[in-house]
Amino acid sequence: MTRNDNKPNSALPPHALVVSKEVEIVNPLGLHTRPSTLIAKRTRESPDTALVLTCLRTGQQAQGESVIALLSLGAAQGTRLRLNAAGPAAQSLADDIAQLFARGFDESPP
Amino acid sequence: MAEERVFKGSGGAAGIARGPVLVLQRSHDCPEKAPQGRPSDEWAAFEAAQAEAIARVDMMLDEAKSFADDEAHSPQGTAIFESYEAILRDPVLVNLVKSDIFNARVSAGFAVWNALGRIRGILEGVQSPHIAEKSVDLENVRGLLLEELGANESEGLAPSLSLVGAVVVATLLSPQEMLKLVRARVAAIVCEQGSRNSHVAILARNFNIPAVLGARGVLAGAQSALAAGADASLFLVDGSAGVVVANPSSDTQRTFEARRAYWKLLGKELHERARLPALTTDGQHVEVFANADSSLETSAISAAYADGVGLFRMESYFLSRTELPSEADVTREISALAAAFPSKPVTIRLLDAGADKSIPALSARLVAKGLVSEVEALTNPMGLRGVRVLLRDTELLQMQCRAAVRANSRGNVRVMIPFVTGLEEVEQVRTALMEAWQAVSRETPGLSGKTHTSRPQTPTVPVLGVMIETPAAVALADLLANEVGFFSIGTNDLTQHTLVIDRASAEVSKCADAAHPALLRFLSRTVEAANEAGIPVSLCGEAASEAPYAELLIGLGLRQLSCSPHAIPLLKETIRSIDAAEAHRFVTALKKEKTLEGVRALLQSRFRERFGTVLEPEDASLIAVKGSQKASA
Repeated sequence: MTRNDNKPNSALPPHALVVSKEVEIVNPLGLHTRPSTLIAKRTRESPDTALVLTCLRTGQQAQGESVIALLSLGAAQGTRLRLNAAGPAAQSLADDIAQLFARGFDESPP
Repeated sequence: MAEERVFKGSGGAAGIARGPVLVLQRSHDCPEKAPQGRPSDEWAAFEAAQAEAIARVDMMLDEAKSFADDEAHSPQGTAIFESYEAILRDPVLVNLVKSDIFNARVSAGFAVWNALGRIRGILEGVQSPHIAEKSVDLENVRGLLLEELGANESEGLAPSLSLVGAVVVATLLSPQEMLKLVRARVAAIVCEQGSRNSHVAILARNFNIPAVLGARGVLAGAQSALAAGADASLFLVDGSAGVVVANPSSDTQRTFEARRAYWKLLGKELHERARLPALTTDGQHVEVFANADSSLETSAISAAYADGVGLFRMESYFLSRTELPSEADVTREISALAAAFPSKPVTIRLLDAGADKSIPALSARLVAKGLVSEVEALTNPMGLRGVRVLLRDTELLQMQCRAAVRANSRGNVRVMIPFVTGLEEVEQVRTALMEAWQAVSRETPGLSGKTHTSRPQTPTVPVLGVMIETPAAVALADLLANEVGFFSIGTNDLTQHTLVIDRASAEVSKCADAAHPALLRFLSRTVEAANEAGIPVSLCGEAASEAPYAELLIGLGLRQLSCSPHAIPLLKETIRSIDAAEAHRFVTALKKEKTLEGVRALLQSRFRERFGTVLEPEDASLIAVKGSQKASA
């Protein structure tokens, strides 16, 4: 997956408030469609705030509002990611997304 | 006269059905490449189609939600439509389409076809089985968009009338096609491809339509049956066993009818009958408790009419949060459970973390406090878990004890120690519990801030018990039984530790089974020790959820089982068909078997004898229990 080509929002807006957190995938099925959809949905609820997830090990990035970009990270259980949010709602967006990760996206254990 | 033919697949959704077969076929044609107007016109057409498709998906989402009566049980049914919506809005998709329309100057339909093709290629290249499944979803999204753009992709979806009561056979179905079939009231769904985890199966369970997936050859079989004429087109479907029969003989039809009648009873009345206590045919009461991971499950647990909570996994609660919970958080969580079942036992297992159940925030805390070395935290040695970790971090232990004492205002809370290997561990936890009780008693009444409907009472010490999940605990069972108020046998871990098996290794764990002769003897010994000391003993491993094992467990002398809420109604029903005295004799025979295979074979044949062709061992996992919307505490 190429990194953010042809996407209008690819870079975080300059001079904006940037909130950074480290998160880990705890749920067994990893970052599959359902968690990716939850992230995209929540990101879209803050339209003027951008979210980028970066896989710590590979450096691959994905925009929070793109399910496809998130899926293409192929991130399995145990993967650690850096979460960067920028914009007026950066803090609440980052907090909410971090919560989703920590709760294993509310997926019950197999 | 055409012959009866049987097709075997995997059970997708429980239930028995019969009806005339109907084949659904879809064809995919790539749209015309040449645009009909200028790029801006094609782009406008795409945006309109996108908006329409999203609106359709929203409608389907509402419909799926109205069918699923318990969010706790079927969030998966609605999740499919949520993901469609997300993909339809996805910037990657939008940008690929835009680029094709403006740069390559193609039609909107062709751009969509191309874009989704490229995305499928990207996702298929991603190393993960769950993500690879998305290529099916992408076809559905493509279908949605192309339909709105006017390209005729779908054909063969017959007029509604002929769908009523039909057994529909297809290669695989899209969720939007599923909805059409649901509305049209088909009898059953059969797919050539897919498995019980496919979206078709998930939705079929959601809408309670019998379904069989992965039935190889059924499509060809259905087509030849139709070609042979109306006589040959009756199909029978068994959604639990995963069996489809074309042109059934009258004997086969009779068997299916018997099963279908039983299933009708089961389907409608399983819920009602679960309300009653489970009594064996000779009058022995077997209590069936629920396992819980969070206080959010109280409505699912009430809906299954559990006799109480047999196991609350504290580590699940800890894992559900970013940071370690505070004492107030834990108190609130346990109190919510205890309050939901005021006259039933609610058993809290103290935090069982370490080894393969590591909690990052906890490990960090333990290392920071010097309670665990960094090497230990990184390598997670086999024995560093359960009560051993608790006894290193006494603050955390006492915090949980105080929370349990506070939650015990009605006297129904029980506290359970995980991973016990010696009596000294019990002593130390008991001391912590007493100290917790003293600390909480010193607090002014009503300090917890909530006004209970019952009058504030002096908190009492919760009953203390132990998990029997190590060989050491089994060996010491007679001594332990005199020290505690109850036992709970964790067969999953006990099996692992006794047979020396790594849960993570699939090959090796095939041998792991509660029916292993070594385990039978261990279970026997544990139950005997509990009975001699006069304390209750329950079993909370996976073996409790599996109906064929019910007779084994009852025959061993167990009268309390704890399992996942959805398995409770069928388990209770199975218990009602068992004679406890006979079960005891059966277990005596089982113990004479020298091998695991020998025991398993006896169990399976016994189950079949009991239920004949009426019920399959697999049925337990395929029944969705309909929940009530509010807890009926």
